[in-house]
Amino acid sequence: MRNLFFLSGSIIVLTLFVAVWTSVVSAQVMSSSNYQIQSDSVNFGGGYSSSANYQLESTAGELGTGSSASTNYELRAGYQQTLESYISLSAGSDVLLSPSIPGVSGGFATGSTTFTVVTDSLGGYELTIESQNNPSMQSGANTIADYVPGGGVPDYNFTIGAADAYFGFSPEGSDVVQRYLDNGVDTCNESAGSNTTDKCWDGLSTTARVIASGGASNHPAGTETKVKFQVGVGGSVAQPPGSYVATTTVTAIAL
Amino acid sequence: MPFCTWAQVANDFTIVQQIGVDVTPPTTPAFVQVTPVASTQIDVTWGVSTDDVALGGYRLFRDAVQIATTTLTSYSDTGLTASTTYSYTVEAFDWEYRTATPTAPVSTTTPQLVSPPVTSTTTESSSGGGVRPVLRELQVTPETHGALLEWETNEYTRYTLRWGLSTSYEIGFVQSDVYQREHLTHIGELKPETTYYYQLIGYDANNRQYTLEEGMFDTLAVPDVFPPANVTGLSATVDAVAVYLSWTNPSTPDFDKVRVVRNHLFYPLNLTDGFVVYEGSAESVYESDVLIDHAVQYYTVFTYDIAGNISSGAVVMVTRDGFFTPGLDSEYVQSTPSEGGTDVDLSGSVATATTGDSVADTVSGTNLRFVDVEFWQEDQLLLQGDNNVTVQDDLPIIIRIPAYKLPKHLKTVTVMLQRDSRSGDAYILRLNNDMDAYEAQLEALPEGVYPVRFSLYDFRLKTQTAFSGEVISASHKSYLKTERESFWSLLTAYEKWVIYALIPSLLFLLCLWWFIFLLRRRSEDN
Repeated sequence: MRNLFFLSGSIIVLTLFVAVWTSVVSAQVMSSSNYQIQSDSVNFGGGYSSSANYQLESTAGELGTGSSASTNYELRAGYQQTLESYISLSAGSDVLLSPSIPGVSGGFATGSTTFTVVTDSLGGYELTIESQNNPSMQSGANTIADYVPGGGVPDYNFTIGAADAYFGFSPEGSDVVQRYLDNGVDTCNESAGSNTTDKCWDGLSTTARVIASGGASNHPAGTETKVKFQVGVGGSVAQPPGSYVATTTVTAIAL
Repeated sequence: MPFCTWAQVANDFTIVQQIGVDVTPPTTPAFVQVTPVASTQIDVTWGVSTDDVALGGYRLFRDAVQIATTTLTSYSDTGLTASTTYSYTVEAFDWEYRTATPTAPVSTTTPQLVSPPVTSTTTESSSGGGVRPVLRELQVTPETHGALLEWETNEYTRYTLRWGLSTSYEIGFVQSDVYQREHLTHIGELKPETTYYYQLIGYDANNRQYTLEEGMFDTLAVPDVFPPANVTGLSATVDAVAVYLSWTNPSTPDFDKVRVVRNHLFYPLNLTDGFVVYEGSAESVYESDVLIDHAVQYYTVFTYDIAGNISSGAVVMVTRDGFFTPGLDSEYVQSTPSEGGTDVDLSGSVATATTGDSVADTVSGTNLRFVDVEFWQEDQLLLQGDNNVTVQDDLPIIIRIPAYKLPKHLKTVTVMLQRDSRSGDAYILRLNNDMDAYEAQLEALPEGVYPVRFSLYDFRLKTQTAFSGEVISASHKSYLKTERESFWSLLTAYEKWVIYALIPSLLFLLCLWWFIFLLRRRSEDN
């Protein structure tokens, strides 16, 4: 009887201790100006261990774990369940630039596609674009050069000379990075600039270039980024006829 | 410590651009018109076709056989037979050679041949009837190496044009098979400043020939685009605040005049870079009170030739203490203008390289040495050593530094040519008409050795640098000897060794072959 009383008292004291402690130190996301703790946990055991080939992060005695969901929210409670952020990228459609450009007289053609990034990462996301070929636009042995902006930052306007043929792009959206923000007059790469339509033209390359970036979770609505493409063929360029294709990769990374 | 996994998703897509891809053929020409203009020629014209992307041209068929491909809307079909009916159709095609529906055939008959052709080339004949061709307008536009002739006739004609240095018209001729009313032809490969005679013969629709015109024209002279030599011996005498400048004009026959320009900030770099002090053919100018407001004045003397070409400019700097020749006297570059009108002192940053050494990179982007400077005489680049060059004493000299060897922000290059221990001439090297080099033109130098010193003024970095060398002016005979020596000195030790080894080896092989040849001949004789 005495043992039973002692055991019951111990359980009550332990339960009260845990209840009081968890109410004061609850699991939460914490951040400073330089660092962010994506997830922490309240538990009684576990820890980090490693060998030459493996690493183990274990927990024991976590409280309040499990998944649940409603129409608008999804909860994945528990340390192991929140290790990986959720991110999705809507598939951008193939783009057929219009109109066809006569190889004799030259001209301009444009087209666009839109991507939507949804992430629950509290650090946000980055959206990059890269080409799989150099130069991007190819038709057999014939190519159209990637647009080369003057001065290292995108050109405010897409301009070509009579003897030039170029393929360029311009991103638009609320999360477009500074490189594609402009002063509304003639300059891009403005730190507090605006994202004027059809301005700030850049060239694709086989190196990924960041075009949009969000600093927080945007789940569930997501953020749209529209990428406009343009080909310009100068009047004195005898661009060989053909169907020129640029295979391009857009990547969204949760931060 | 929890570890963090980055999640990422990627999407590949294609961007397609059609260039010249065309699926719709052009329209059929609206009409076809045929005109028999001679017994051997029918002119065909047709309406314009259109295409959604780009029209390529037209194919013309005579009696179902293609005879021409053209982007024009007319064609003169020649070489036909008189009194013969021909049928024509036209087919348009686009950039991808997608063809339109051909036009309906249109036929016509060439005229009957009225009389046999007249064989005389100089006499006129109208026998056999018909209207004699009349020359309505003839315009001859002479060029340096050719002439353009344009004329009209009252009726369709074809022509023969002959020309020469006399009325024998011995040099050449050009003929046309096409009957037209408006004619144009070009004669080429003529000599400049030469009188040529020409004869124009026309043929009417029945192939009878008439002399339409005989005349002459003078081809133009080769345009002079070479700047004249600069003045020599530019010096100044200072009397308190007055300046007396004197110089010697170049002796070239096309010399016209000089313009003296003054600036109190720096050497005038072009004709309008300061106050024009004097313009004319004199060899001195006097300026009173010119040193009152400014203690330093810079002068540049430009020369003009009669074709209007301008020299790079000879320069001198004048102070109340006397005159200074850049490169000869101690560098006295007091100031140069900068934004806001303040003066920038260059005097403390003069870098001087020893003879033939490179400029110690104080002018950004350059590592200039004497060997980077080119010396030209009569369109020939002279061979030069590391720190000297030999020139002919009877030819003018062009000193040239290719523009790509100099920084873009470089403002001024001067060269000083020292004539004796106390005097010398300084010249600006100016960007030439082709914008590919900085050049200065010098008169022929009497036989002797002339130290030269190049000064480069970099206003962006506020530095001035210099390097030196020697110009050896030699008579023609000794120049050739020096040139041979220069060639030998340019060879590497390995190249010299190859020459030394190759010549005796070849001689040995030749002797050996001759010896074997003699032995074989002797054995054959036996």
